Amino acid sequence: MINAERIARDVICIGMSAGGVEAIMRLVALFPQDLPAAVAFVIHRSPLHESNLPSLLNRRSRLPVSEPVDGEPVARGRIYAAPRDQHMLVDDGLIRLCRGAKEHRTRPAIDPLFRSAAATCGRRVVGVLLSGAGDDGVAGLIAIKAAAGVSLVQDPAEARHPTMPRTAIAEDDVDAVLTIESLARAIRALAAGEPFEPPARSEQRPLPGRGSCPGREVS
Amino acid sequence: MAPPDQTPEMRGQPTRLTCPDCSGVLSLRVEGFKGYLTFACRVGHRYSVAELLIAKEEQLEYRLWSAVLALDEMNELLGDLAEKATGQGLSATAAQMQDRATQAAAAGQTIRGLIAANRAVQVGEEIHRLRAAGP
Repeated sequence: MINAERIARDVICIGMSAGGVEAIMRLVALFPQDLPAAVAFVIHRSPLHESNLPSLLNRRSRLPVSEPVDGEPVARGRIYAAPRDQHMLVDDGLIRLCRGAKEHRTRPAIDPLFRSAAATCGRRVVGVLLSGAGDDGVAGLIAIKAAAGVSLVQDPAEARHPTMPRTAIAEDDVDAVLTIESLARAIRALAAGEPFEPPARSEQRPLPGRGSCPGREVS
Repeated sequence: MAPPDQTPEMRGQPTRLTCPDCSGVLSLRVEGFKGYLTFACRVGHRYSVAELLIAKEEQLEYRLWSAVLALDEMNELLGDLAEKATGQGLSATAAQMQDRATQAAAAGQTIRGLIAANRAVQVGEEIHRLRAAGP
């Protein structure tokens, strides 16, 4: 059981890399119009090109999707996509953009978003890692957990590129490993301050990477 | 509005390694209770172990090509000068320059061979079993 304490987790931070477009398209389409949370996501992207992802997402999402400007207040019911060539941070109720040091050799990177949200919003944060190759987001998820937030990852068996979720499972004490559909239900419940019971284990296939962390159950 | 501060607090163990992106000192950090290893420099560049390996491989290749470039340029410059010296009857100087040019050309070939023979490790998921503690 996640969130038995019934805390409203209204800052949803999502990270993804390779294969992430498909994952985020499916996920946002499942968010309800009255989702009582702000959603911010980072997908690894070229620093040189504008992305048509926000407009693609807007066609499927009941919530407006946009690339924020620096200093924009974090608002519930909105989805913020990290712009090119800048890190996107959550700081004291504002979205901040900064062309800071690259992390994991990329910018925007997932860790700065996760870390800043953990530092300023603590247990209100849900960190979600979707499909991706590489290691970005893992340290950020650990920071979210350390600040009493919730960490969720996409089921590696479902993710087009499973490395990022697998690494998170191996390195972090993730709260649940879920399919996109279950992630949407979990986010909806957590945002509303309700507990969430992950689906029975039968839905989930064995988790690669767990062999390296004896004694930890991913529930 | 001032840009937000992304600089990491300087916790972690300083290493003798330098950041591939800025040459600052890298610190090794142990994240979470499972002991996830990351590297961070003073200004905020961060790497996983695998990413640092990749970046160091790229840095090595860049520097080897820099050496090839220096040697190729030296070969060309000395060759041109030797030709002029010969034309002006400075035969001792010309011979010295031609020797050094030949040496530089050979060294350039050696380093091209090194670059061609280098093989990066294949980073697999087992890298996540690496921990700070233990042998």
